[in-house]
Amino acid sequence: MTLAYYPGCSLHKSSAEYDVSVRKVLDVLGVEIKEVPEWTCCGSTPAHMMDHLLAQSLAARNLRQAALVGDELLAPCPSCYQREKNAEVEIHASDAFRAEVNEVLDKPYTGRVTVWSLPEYLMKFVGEAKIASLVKADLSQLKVVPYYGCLLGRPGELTGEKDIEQPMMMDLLLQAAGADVKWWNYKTECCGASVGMPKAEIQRVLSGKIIEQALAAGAEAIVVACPLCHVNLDLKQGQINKALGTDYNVPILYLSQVLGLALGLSGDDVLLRQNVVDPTVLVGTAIQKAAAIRVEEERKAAEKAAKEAAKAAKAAETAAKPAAEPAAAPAAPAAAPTKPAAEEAQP
Amino acid sequence: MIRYDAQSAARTRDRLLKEVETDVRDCYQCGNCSASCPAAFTFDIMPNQMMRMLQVGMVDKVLDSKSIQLCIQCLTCTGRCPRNIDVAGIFEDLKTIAAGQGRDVPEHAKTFNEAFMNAVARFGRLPELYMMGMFYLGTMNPKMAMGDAGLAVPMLTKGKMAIVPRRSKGADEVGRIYKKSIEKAKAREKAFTEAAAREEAAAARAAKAAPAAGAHGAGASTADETEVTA
Repeated sequence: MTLAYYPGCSLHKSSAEYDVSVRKVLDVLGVEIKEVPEWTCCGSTPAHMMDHLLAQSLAARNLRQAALVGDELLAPCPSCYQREKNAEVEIHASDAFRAEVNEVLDKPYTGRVTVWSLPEYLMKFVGEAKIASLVKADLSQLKVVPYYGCLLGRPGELTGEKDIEQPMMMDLLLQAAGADVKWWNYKTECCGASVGMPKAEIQRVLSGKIIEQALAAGAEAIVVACPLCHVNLDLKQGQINKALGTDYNVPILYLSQVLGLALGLSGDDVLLRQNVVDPTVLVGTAIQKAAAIRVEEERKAAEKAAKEAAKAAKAAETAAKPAAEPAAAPAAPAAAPTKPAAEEAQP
Repeated sequence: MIRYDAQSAARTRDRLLKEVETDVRDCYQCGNCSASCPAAFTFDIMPNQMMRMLQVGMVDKVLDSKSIQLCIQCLTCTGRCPRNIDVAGIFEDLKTIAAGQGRDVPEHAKTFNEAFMNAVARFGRLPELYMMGMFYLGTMNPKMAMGDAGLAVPMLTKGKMAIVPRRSKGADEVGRIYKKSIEKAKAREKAFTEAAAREEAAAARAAKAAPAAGAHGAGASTADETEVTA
């Protein structure tokens, strides 16, 4: 069945790298998607700060459009996800409220569309095992922390997230992709997204703390699944530095960018160059380092095998000549094992 | 001294019960919401104080507070409330009530929300540059605009922002949804304020008619209820 895909305003333009990388990753994973026809803005925070019916109706219009594609809707932007999910739950629970919403819409919404976030969809319908089985690039040297932000998990009653303080979906997906996922306590702290413009000082302080904590946890990059978190941490990192007197230069990657790299897509495929804090050096170095480590490990393994073979040969020799003369004993075994060891190391 | 406005408390409580399905009476002042709030350092009234003020009916003060405008809707308070109160939901609802009553809001959040919704209503999808422009015009604060002007360079060079906004298909319907919902909201707010005024007048008449009996008016029964739980 085709999955309805709602990019939303951010992915449509300012966060095209998220949109493109999500589409490519889903393609590699074999998920067929179709964009919601004639989708419009979900209303985001401003709509529900103004009026409840306005917010639910704007979201319901998109649910109605999504129903033209199918009954499952993927909204990779957590802000869109939250608004669409909210409308889904309230409208599906109450026919009276559905009628109220339909009064405001041009054409009524009569369907039953279920809304999914990106991590949720990947965990439920693709699974870690499948992702791990398709990994092509070694990201074990890419030290990251997953940053969930507010809207992927909260409130738990709405999103179905079991642990709103320590969610694990992104951790597990990144581990499946082979990245070095660090543990930290700022997974769900707010970056100040909704007041980034009208109340910038809140955003600077909150986003600054998140970057500080990520570095303290040993991460070199922060992985997000939200275009608003990305804008606040990436595009505005310069402003954060200016306001707080810091000199952070921490790449902020989208979950789909990291998954794409692991699945063998190139940096250009997942639009790494669109990120404002350049992640290409970090990603390139991490992949090179992993390759070097692999070569070194293979060399060590060969060396170890050679040593063990030598040991075995030595043991066999001493066992074969228990009655050897004491004067000849130290010299003979030392020279003998080199030949079988070299043979062992060959395969 | 805090004057308990029992009537006003009961009215607001009923309304929040209906609209957010949350009862402020459940709050027992543990302070978890305020301790968790990442934006509390900018608030004039802490979230737990807000709950208490709503319990005792200090509704005007709450509606005029900066806090409801500065709430960033991260929902941490809601997630951590041991009494399961949707604190952020209450903040959101108070904000919409304040907007519906046309209160003069001291913060830029309202300007931002209006600039955002007007842009969406016109174009269907958010035209970021246009919205930013309208917002900064609305704030009448060139310093704020200059602070963000630097962002335009990476946004434009990386193609993250369209210079000319385009109307998307469906924009007309979005415009109609916006217009209809706001009209309905205003009508609802008007009906609520009028009903409240009628109730108050009736209570005043009842008190005048029976000054000795006193405690049996319409307002007094809600007062009893509030005092028991407050």
